Amino acid sequence: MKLDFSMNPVALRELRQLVRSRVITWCLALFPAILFGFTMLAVSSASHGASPVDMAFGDGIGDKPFVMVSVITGLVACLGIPFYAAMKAILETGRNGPGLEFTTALTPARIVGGRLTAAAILIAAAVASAMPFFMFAYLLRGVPLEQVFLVPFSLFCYGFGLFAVSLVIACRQSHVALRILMTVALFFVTLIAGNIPILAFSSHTSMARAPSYTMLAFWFSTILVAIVVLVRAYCASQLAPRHVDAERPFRHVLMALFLLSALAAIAYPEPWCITWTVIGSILVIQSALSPREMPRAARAAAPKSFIGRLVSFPFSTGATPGVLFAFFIIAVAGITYTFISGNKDHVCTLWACVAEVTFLPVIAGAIMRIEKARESRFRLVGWLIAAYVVAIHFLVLMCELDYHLRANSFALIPCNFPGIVEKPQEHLYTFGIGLIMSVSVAVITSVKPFKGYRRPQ
Amino acid sequence: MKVELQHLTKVFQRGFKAVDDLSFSFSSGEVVGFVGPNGAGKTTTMRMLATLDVPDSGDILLDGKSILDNPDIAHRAIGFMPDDLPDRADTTVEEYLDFFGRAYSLRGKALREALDGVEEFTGLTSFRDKTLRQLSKGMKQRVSLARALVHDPQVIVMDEPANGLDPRARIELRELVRALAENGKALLISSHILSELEEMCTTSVIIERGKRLSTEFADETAWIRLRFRGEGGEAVLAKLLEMPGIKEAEVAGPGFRVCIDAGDESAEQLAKELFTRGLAPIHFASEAGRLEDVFMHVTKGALA
Repeated sequence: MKLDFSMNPVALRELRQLVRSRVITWCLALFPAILFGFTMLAVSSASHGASPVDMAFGDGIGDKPFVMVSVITGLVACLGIPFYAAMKAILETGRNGPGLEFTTALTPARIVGGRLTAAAILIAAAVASAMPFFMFAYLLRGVPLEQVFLVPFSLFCYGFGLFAVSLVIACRQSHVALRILMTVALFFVTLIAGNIPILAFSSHTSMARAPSYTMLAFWFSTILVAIVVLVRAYCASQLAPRHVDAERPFRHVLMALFLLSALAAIAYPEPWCITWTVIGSILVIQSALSPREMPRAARAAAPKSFIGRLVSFPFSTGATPGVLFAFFIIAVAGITYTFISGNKDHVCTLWACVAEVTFLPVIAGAIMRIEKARESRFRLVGWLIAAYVVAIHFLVLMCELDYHLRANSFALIPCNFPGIVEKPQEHLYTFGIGLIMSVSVAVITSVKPFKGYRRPQ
Repeated sequence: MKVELQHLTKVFQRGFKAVDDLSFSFSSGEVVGFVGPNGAGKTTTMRMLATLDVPDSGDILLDGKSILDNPDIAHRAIGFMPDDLPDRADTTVEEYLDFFGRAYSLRGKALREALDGVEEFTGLTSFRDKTLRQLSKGMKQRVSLARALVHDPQVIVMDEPANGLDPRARIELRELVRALAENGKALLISSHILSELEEMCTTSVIIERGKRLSTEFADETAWIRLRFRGEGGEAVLAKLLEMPGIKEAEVAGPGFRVCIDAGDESAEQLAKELFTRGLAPIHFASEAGRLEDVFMHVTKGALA
C-alpha cells in the first residue's frame, strides 16, 4: 500500500495545502538563507580577536553560532509555525458548527490527529533544515555533541507542545475573535516568559553533561507524548457532534494516563499526587459547568448489568458523569497523598484547595442543570443554594467579615482562600463541609442521569 | 432505503423552536421537495439528517435503525450537500474530492474509480486540475454535489442546490437529480425556486416555523388554465365562478385560472360545462407551477 494511502487524510490535506501556499514555500526557502547569514555573522564575530592557535587547539568558537542558530530556529519552530498552524485551525474549526468532515467516516480523534501530524511534520521540517547549521557549529568546537541533537529535539518538543496547547483553544466552542485573542495571549506570554528551552540549553554549553541532558530529554518527550495524547482526546471531545459519546474516549485516555503514571508515583509520590489532584480539580470545574448532556448514543451503548453501568457511567459524556470521574481521580490521588505525606499541614492545604476550587463550580453547575430542568421544587432548592453561595462570597470577600470565629468552631464555607493556605488546620471543618457538600451535590445530581443511563427498550 | 423523520423537534437558545414535531418519510427512487419560507427550519432539519445537529426530541430512522443511536449508519448512507460552497480556494477539484474519498475510507483502486465516476457524472472531468478559486458558482455546486456522491450514498440531502445558478446550470442540475432518482437514490431537496422543484420532485413537504403544513388541499385540487377567443374580462370571470365544480377562478395574463377537484373526471366535466355555456376555450391545460399555488395557499398565515 502506498504511503499516502495509509496517511491520515486530514494530515495529507493540510500538507498539500502547505505545499501549495506560496507564503510557506517562500518562508521555507528563506529560512536556511537567514540561518546562513546569521551563522556567518556569529562566526566572524567569534573569530574576531581569536588567534589561529586558540581556534585550532583551544575551546573553539562554535558556541556563538550555535546559540544564534538555536534562537532563530526556536523563533521559527517554537513560535512562528505553531502560531500559524493555530490560527489556521481557529479559522477553519467550528465556523458554522461541525464541519463536513464530521459527516464522513473520520472520527473526531482522527481529524484532530491529522492536524497534529501536519503541524509536527512542518515543525520537524523547519528543525531539520537547521541541522546542517547546528553541525557546522559543532565542527567549530565548543559545543558537546549530544547538545547538537538534544537542542533541535527540545525545540521540536516545545514547538509541537505549544501548538498542541493552542489547539485546545482553537477547538473551544466560543467566538472566533475570543479564541484568536486567547491564542495571541498564550504566544505572547510564551515569548515574554522566554521559556524557549534552547536558552536554557545553549547558555550552559560549557556546563553540559550528557546524563542530565538525557534525563531532560526523557522527561521532555514523556511530557510531550502525554500532552499530545490528552490534547488529541480532549479536542476530539470538544469538536465532536452532539450525537456521539464524545467525552468517553477522552476519559479513557485520562484514566490510562492516570494508571500509567501511577508507576511513577512509587518514585515520586508527592508530585504525582499533587499533579493529579490539580488535574482532577480542573476537570471538576470543566465538567460541572459543561453544557453537554448524555447523548442517546451513550445510552444505546450502556452495559446491561447494574455493575457494568455503575463502572461505565463516569466515563460517559455529560456534566454529572464528568464530575464523578474527576472526584474519583481526586479521591485516589488525594487519599494516597494523605497516607504518604508526613506533613499534616501540606495534606490539609491540599484538601482545602480542592474544597475551595471545586465547591463553587459543582454547586453552580448543579444550579444550572436544575434551572434547565425547570422543575419548580428543584429550582427553589437551587436558588436557595445560589443565594447562600452569593451571600457568603459577598460578605466574606467584599465586606471582609471574618467568618472564622475560633478554632474548632463552625465556620461558613468558601471563605478566605489565603487564610486557609496559611493556617490550614484551623479550617478543618470549613473545607471538610465544603468537600462533603460538593461530593453530596455531585452524587445527588447524578442519580437521575444514572437512572436514565440504560439502553432504550 | 427508507428514511423516516419521526416527531423531530429542535429548540435553539431562548426557546426558539426551529423544528417542531416534524414527521415525514421518503424512500429510494423518490425525490422530495422540501419547501418553506426563510427560517422555516429546512436547513436545521437537513443538518440533523446529516448528523451535524442533534434533535432535542424525535428520531431519524434509516431502514428502521436510529441514526441518533448509531450515527455511523448515516455517515455511510447519506450524502449531504450544504447550501454553502466549498471554501478551500487553493485546493484543486481532484484534491478536494480525494480528501473526502479517503475520509469515507476509500483507498487505492476503489478511490480512483469513485473519483472518476463522480467527476464524469457531474461533468467535472476536464476541471479536475483547476483550483476551487478558478471555478464559477455553478461548477462549485457541481463539486459540492460530487463530494456528496463520492461514497455512493443511498440518500442524498441537498440544501438549496439551485441557489445562484444560471438557467443552463439549473437545467443541468435537474437532469442530474433525475438521473440520481433513476439510479434508485432517495433525494431530499430544498429550494426557493418552486417551479424548479416541481419539475424534479415526486412529492413535496412544506414547512413553516418548523411545523409541517397540511397539503391536503393541494392533493385534492387541480388548477386549469383557460383562454377564450376575444375579450375575456370580468363578465367571463363571473360566468366561470357561477359554474358548478369550480372552487376558485382568477384572471391570469390573457386568460383565466380555475381551481377544480383533482382528477380526470372533474376536468372532463369542466370542459363539457364550458361548451354547454357557450364558452369554447382555445387553450385548456392543467396548470404548471402548482407547487407555488400550494405553497402560497398553505403558508398564507396558516400558523399565524
